[in-house]
Amino acid sequence: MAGLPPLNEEQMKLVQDLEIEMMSDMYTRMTNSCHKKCIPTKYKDSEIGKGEAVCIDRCVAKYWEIHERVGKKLQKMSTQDEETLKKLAAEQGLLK
Amino acid sequence: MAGDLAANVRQFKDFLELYNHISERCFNFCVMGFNDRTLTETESNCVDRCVMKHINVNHKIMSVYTELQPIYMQRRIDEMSQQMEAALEAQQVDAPQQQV
Repeated sequence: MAGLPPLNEEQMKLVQDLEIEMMSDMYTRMTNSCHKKCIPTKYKDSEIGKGEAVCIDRCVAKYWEIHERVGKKLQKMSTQDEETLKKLAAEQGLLK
Repeated sequence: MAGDLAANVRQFKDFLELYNHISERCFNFCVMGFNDRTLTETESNCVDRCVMKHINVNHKIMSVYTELQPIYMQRRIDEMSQQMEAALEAQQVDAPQQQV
């Protein structure tokens, strides 16, 4: 992810481990959401119907797109926050 | 330095958890139909508003929390020192009686 300070090897490994953990968490959430949205709980048949298959396909696609958008927004907000903090710090430095 | 690293990792992990949480909630709330693989304009706008709302809520919570935390911390410290004083006094009252 962009926006992180330069890291040494040990830190890189920690960040990568975290990213893997978070990807796995995202996958679980996505599975739960799409299951709720697409699969009615009547369970008449053990096979996936065509409608259900199409729904799951589009559900996963939409979830990915939203996940990406949220990531970009959060990154934008955090860089904005950093700049605001730097400005505040600079102003306080000048005032002192 | 190790303490710093742990704190940074903790912060990054919290950020990532928040990210996943927001993704899930905004998806569940905004996406109602599955006619296509891409998001409709309604869903798109809904997601934008939802994300900004969550971020602003998070900021507000953080600011109130940081405002109140030192107050409650101080209260806890005061209570604990009062308790310790009371315990010491009780000991001193007992000790001379034991000597006699």
